[in-house]
Amino acid sequence: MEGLDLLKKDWKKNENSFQQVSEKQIYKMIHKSSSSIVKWIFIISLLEFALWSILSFCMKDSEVMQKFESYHVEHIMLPFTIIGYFVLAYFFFHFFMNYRKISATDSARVLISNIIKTRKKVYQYVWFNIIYGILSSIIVTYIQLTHDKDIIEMINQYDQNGNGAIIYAIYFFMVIVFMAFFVGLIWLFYRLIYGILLKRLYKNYEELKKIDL
Amino acid sequence: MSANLEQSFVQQLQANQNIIHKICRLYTSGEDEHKDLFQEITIQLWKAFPKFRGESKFSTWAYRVALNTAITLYRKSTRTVSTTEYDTTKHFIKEEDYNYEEEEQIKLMYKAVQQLNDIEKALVFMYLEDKDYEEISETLGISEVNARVKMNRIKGKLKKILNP
Repeated sequence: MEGLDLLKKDWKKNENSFQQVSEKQIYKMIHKSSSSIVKWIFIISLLEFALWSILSFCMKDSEVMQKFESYHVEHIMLPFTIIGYFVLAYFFFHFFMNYRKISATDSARVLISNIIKTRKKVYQYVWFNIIYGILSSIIVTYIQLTHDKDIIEMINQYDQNGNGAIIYAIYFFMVIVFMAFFVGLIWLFYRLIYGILLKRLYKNYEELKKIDL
Repeated sequence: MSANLEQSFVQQLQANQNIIHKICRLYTSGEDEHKDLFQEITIQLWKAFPKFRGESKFSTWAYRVALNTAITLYRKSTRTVSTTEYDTTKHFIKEEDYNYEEEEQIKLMYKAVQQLNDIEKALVFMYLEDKDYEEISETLGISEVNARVKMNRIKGKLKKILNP
């Protein structure tokens, strides 16, 4: 007898040798809270939804936005706001429905796949926000350049000196730097948080897929 | 949840707890980790229990939830990093049937199994538990044929670890 069969013999021989946990201890355990990966994903996802929503709310009251009202460009900004809410509702609904599907009684493959799907919805929502943020920045920059009296005056002055292009260049450069910083920060956050949290999950999922190729 | 449900769960789990201990033995390497995983599996079983309708045996149902917890849901807690590796084979040696060579081989086998990845461990676990390939394939969500192929590969891999 060798290898696994030898191990099986030992395994069977000793299957009742574990220190037994009493009923009282089990009662205690079931009243403790879980520290499972799904719980963490759920908490972090809710925080993400909250963070992005709060961020857009804060933006509304900011000085920039108040200044915007004086430009009278509601017809451009209103659709953006409405789209934002619809998208939030859409992603949150799908995230929640996927979360409800997660069940420890499914097969390992279905279980992991459902967890990944839940996560993907939040991920898509974040990417939507990044693209949305970039698009809004471009529109905001354009509106400022064409509607802000101070800026128009400044550009005119530079234009008279023949340096109008410099102002545009500086303006766009600042927007690009800001956006790069913003996207970089989010990327770092994802690498850190989800790298640690989901590494094992993806590894096991890949392994299962590999077996069934 | 009602007290009756709680009592029924605790009693059944108490009677079937060795299933969980055995999974903890394969997936953890310290006493603290063993206890930590045991607790998480217990919580997950309890959470899933209201949906357990008794169509299958409690043990069959528990196997799946417990394995899923070990493979997928369990997040190793940093607060219970164990500094004392405990020898899982120590208390399994009985004097009367002590066979030095065989015991050494068993020890090596346990060490080799510890080096396998989570999915391979699940296959080995079900093999040791005499589960048929139908149940293995349903538990992991892979086809029966591929489960067999993978099991043979694991046997080969273990041989290689033992005789590099």
